[in-house]
Amino acid sequence: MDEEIKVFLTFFIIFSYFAYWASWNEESTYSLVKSVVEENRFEIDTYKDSTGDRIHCSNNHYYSDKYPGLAFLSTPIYGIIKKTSIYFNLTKGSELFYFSDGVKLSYDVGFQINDISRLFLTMLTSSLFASLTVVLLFKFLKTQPLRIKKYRFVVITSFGIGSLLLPHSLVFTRHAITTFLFFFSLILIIINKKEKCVKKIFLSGCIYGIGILVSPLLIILSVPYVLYIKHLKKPVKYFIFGFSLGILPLLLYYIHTGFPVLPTFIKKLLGEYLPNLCWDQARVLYIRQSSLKNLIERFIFTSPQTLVYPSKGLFFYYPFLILLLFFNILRKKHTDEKFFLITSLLIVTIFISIMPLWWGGWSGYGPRYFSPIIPLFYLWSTGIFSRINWKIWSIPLILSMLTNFLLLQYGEDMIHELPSEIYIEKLKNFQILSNPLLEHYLPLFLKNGPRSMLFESLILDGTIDIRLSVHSCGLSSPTIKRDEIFLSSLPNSILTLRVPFLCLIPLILSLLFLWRNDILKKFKLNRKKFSIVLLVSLIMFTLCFLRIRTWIYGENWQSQELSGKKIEVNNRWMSQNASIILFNNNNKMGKSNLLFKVENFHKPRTLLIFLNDKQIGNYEINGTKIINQEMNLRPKKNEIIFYSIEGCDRPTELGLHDCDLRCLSFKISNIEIRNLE
Amino acid sequence: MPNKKNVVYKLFKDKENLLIFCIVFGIVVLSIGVYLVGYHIPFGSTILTMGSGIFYISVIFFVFLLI
Repeated sequence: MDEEIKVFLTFFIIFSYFAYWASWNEESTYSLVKSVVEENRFEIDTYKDSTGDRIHCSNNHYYSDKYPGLAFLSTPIYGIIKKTSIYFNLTKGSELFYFSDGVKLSYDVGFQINDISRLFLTMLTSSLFASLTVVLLFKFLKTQPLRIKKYRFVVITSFGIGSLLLPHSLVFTRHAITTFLFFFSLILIIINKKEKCVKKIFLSGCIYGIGILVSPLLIILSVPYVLYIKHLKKPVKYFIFGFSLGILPLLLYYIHTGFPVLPTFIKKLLGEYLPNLCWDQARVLYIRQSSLKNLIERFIFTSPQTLVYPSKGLFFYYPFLILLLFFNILRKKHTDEKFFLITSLLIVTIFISIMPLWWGGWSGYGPRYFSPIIPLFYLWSTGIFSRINWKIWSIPLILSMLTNFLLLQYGEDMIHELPSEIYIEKLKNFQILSNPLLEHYLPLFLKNGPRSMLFESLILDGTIDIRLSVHSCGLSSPTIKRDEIFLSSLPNSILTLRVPFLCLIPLILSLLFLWRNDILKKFKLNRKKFSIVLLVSLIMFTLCFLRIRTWIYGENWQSQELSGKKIEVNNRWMSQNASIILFNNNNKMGKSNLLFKVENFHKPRTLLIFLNDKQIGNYEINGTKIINQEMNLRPKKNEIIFYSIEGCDRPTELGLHDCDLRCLSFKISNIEIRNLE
Repeated sequence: MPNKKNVVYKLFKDKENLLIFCIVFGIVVLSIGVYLVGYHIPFGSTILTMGSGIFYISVIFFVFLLI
């Protein structure tokens, strides 16, 4: 197999494996995909309830507030899934409704076509194009002198796993594709630096135009980009021809929809000719209220936060990038490339700083608009590996990769949670606004391990639902649903499998299988030795995940909750019913006591306790109560079921907690089993 | 002077030309699709999907075969 194919497959497997679906952002684009394929229109009226990221226009239609490029590129994938789904008996679930700031929104559960679509749309857009970006860099490095070429695997590992590319390759948002299109367009030009290949310059323009269809950031990046092309003495006019063609779908989309995020001054200009243009009042108001002085102030105060501060600083999260930047700046040659990188970084920083929600909550690393320019850091700085001692570059490189592993968790929005006065005061005094890496991601990483939603949903629920939470408002628990799963009964206990970190086993195995020939060659092993080493390591590794227990949580428990910054390990909410599995290691019937604290949700409820399908307890719960239930356990495995006669209720439907879609009945705490005999 | 047949032959013989043609063709078809979907013309979404699909596949082939 070709090296490039293996590189592609490696990153494609990693990115797809950790893919997840977190927020309204993805739902907004997905709604547009479904509208185009199923209803042949750009209005998302039918699917508007699934997302809060939407624009309600004066023509009484709803539109997605995202640029349409990602949705257009996803239509073939969804079209194929839709056409083939008729040959399979896919289940149709139900829709739950919740409220966010008084707006009623829906959340679908159990629609298999949506689960399949979400997984494949993420894999075949963001993950696939991010892997192609790595391949492009790999191919570029192959054309470099030997001293650089020999570090090509270190460079691509650093780029693919230790940079901003990873967090965006996992979600169905535009940033990974924008990065690919921007980099692809640039590579087409620089790879033929010495020749004036008109076709490729034209193609580069086309790709760049399509890039703008995906993300507005490329509009402002086009200034340093065109200056760079001009500096290379390439015929810019062919680039502009191609660009005009590439941007055509966006212009046509604008004409039909009056795209809501069109800059205000263009809207004013076009308003006379196209009176049906859709206006996003919130954004228009924001631009109108922001004077130049205001924008400059915002840039001064927020740029340190977006570049170096722990809140959302690019160089804090990825220290290896700062090394690459300094190396690039300190070089005597390549002034045009230096200028291109620095101006692009400056432009993107300004762009992010003046955005109203510059910190970009609920995504691993917030200021996501930096992602398209990340390849520029690597493109001309790879000499760092051969010129600087490995001890200097390896530490920031490892830290950058570690950051990305920590970020494989449920997101946060700590800055948004700050009271506005404290936020302004801290911002203006250049103080740290938040430290999510240490306060949010690290504790969750230690609790959950890196989270692969595909693996978790397969092993815990037998589905392929990759949504990270039960909803997108961010109020559900960020912890893994179940820590341990029942494996089998042993002669005197229960054998369980620990779920956190377990997802690494299939990933490592598949990567080892892919690179087996190279590993055999490198370590001079034969196949037999390699298989034995692999088998022994696999057994050792799997043994680390086995646990022996006397009881474990069974089905229908909600995830553990965060109380402040602490995870409540001993408390669990249950749905209408929930079970625990316990083991009696006597060979005869034995008396035991079940002790626990119980609290009802919202209204008085009746709790029934069943032991092996026989009712053993009936309690009226109104408030908190400690229960001591006597049980007569049969030998070996026993199952206790807690049951709420009144069923369960959803906090969002009762107006108690916006967005909370969990169905709750009782909170059971501090379960203890005491053997009497 | 090559006749029409030769031009077409040349175009499809050279992988680079063929893939560039496919990418550009994909963008053109995608644009037509966007235009048609805007007017709710029934086959608009099929055209848009086709254009997008042609672009998508050609780009992947281009990355692997020609760079």
